[in-house]
This record gives sequence, C-alpha cells and structure tokens, in this order.
Amino acid sequence: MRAIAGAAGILLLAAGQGTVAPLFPVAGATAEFPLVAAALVGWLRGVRATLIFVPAAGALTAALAGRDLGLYVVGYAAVVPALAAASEYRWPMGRWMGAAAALAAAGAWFRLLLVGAAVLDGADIAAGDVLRHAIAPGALADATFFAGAAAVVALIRSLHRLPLRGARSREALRWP
Amino acid sequence: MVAVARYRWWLATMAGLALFLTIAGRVGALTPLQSALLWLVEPVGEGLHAIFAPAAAVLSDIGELRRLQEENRQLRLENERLKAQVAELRQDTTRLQELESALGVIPSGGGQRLLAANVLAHDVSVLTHTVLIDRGSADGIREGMVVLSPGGSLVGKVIRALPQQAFVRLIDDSRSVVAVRIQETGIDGSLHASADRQLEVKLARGEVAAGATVVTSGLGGEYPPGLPVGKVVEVSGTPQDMFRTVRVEPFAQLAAAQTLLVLTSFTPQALAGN
Repeated sequence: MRAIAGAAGILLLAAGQGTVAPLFPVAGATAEFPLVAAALVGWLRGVRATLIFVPAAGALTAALAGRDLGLYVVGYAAVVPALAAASEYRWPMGRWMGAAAALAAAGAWFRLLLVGAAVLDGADIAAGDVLRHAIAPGALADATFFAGAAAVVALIRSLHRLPLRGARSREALRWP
Repeated sequence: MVAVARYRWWLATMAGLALFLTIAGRVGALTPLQSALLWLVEPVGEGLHAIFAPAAAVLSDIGELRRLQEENRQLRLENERLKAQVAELRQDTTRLQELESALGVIPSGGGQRLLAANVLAHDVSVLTHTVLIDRGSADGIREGMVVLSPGGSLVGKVIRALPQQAFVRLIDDSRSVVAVRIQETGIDGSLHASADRQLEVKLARGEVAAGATVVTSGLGGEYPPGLPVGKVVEVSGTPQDMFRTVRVEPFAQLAAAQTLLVLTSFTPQALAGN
C-alpha cells in the first residue's frame, strides 16, 4: 500500500513539474518540485528514505519533459550525498536547515548539468550568467517552496501535539 | 564525510543507471514507454493545471495590478488604431482584387493548413523552454514543423514527434535560432534567447528603432518568410558598434501558451530533404 502511495506521489510530483511549477515562477525561475520533495523526505524520514524516490522521480520527470532520463537521474542523485553530508553537522535552527542546505547544493549541481547539456545542444551563455540567471534564481525558487512546505509540516506537527480543549485522549488529536 | 561514503555504492549504481537510460533513450528504446506514460499522466496534468491555474492567475494579477491597468489602457488605444488599419487594409484588398481581375493576374494560393493542439505541459528549465502538445505523428506532425500562436505569430518548432504527442521548442529557448528581418527597414538578423529567456536580435549592421516589427526572413528554409515574431522594445549601442543588442518582445504569450497551431502546409528544408 505504501509503495502504491509512494508511486502515486512521485507521479503527481512529476506531472506537477510540467503543469504546476511553471505557473508559480520565483525570480523568473521554476522550482524543481521533485528535488524539493526529496529534501523534505530526507528531513522528515532520513536519507535512506530517498534512495528509491530520487531516481524514480528523476526518470519520470525527465520522461514527461522529453529530456534525457540519465541527465535527470544524475542531477537529482546529488541530493542524497548532500543530505548525508548535512546530517553530520549540528544545524543552529534544527535539521530542516541541513535539508535546505542540501537542497541548495543539489539544485546548483542539477542546474549546472542542465546548463552543460544546453550548451552542448547549441545554447549560448556567458560564464557569469550561469550563476546570475541559472543557479541563483533556481535556488531561490527551490528555497521558497521548501520553506512553504516546511512551514506547513511544522504547523501540522504543532497542531498534532497541541492538546485541544475537550479532547478525551491524545489519539483523538491524530490526523486521519 | 563518513555518511557520504556510506552511499558510494548507491552513487555508482545511479551512474550506471543514468548511462543505461541515456543510451536507451538515444536508440529510441524508451519511446513506447514514454508515450504510454504521457498518455497515463495527461489527465492528471490537466487536473492539476485546472486546480492551480486560477490561484496562479490571482497571485500574478495582485502583483501586477498597476502594470496591467496601464497595459489595458495601451491595448485599448492600440486596438482602436488596429481597427482603423484593418478597415484601410480591407479597402486596399478590395481595390487590389479589382485591379488584379482587370489586369488578368492570377493570385498565388497562400492558404495555410494549420492543426490546432492543446499544450499539456511546459518544461521551463535553465536555458530551455519546451512544451508538450496533444498532437503527434499520428496526426501528421513531423519534427521541424513550425508552430504558431492562435494569433498567427511564431512560437517555435516541433523537435520530437511521438505517436500521440509532440515536444515543441519555443523561440525563448536558448537553443533556438530564427532567421528574422526588421520589417520596416528590411535588415536581416538572427533571433536568439538570452540566459534569462529574453529575445534578442543580432544585427551586423543597419538602423533599427524601438517599436519596429520583427518577422521571419525565411533564410535557411527553416521558417516561412513573413511570420510575425515580435516588436523591438529596446536598442542598445550605436550604429558604429559591431553588434548591437536589440531586445524583442514576442507577440505570442510564450509562458502562458495553452493552444497552439502547427503549420502543416509549410515544409522546412530539413524535412523537404527527407
């Protein structure tokens, strides 16, 4: 059952990358929903939980976008070592900071790969523009969606722990 | 770095998987699987778009209310001017037909065959902008065919045709190059997209002013001549400069394209050779 739910979630994320993400550009860039989700999974469930998610999301997103599947798998894969490296440090505001840093590093790697692929395919870009127009706006877009999702998770967690007046037991406070 | 070393085997597996997928994709082994996936996800994508598009529109409008009001005012004025021009052109066309008939001239058949297609998804990645449309090789779509907006201005060209869908590379994709002409002065140039997806015309010489109309020149045979592309909004540099930056605003709304027209009656030179 969990595998089916996971597969459906990945499918939704990949479909959302082509249909929803372009509707909400941040600084002219589109967030990478699957990468943001991978960072969230890494934060909430640990690095091991992302091992299957990352290649599946990468291959599916690339297939739906008509891109090279291998490029996306290698691009998204960076989030795993980034999350693992981040897990070794004690972050000042909690583990979510580590996940955000891992997302920034993986996003930069992924976009660098995309720039490389586009240049090989005939695109013309000055070296200085890579950071200004490719990596920085993308990182901002990813960070915005990660922060939004992290805020929702934090809200759900705080509601989950909040003892409501009239509730008979802690079980009654659980989300369905 | 102990934690990273723990995933060495996984990273090596991913590198192998990526290599396998790249090779399989290049030889076309994944095409049936991709077609099936796109068919499966099409309704999901449409549903997601229907849910989130109104929210995105509201957010976008809130941030740009003042600009939209000004744009609306400008458009009203332009609409009025264009209506007057249409009336004038109608008169000219009637007069031309009368003259042609009096002189016995047979007009060339300029009928275009267009195939309407819905946009299923946008891929707006770094330096790239492609869209997925719901028409494919089964509908007569072939790679290289020219794609227009509902208003008839240039949007891009088909880069890959699957049986039921096709991928279209838009003109604001950094890999696109379009041979264009400044309509008012007849100067030729090439249209490129910069890293931030702004359209720029590279002109080797000649005068150009803001407000000029950019159309396809037809040079190279990839696009038919005379297709409207956009309007010059900014020119930087002097006529003495080797290359001047000419910024162009496309007529077609590339980021919000929902319906496109594939020009099936024009055969690009690359296709004509096959």
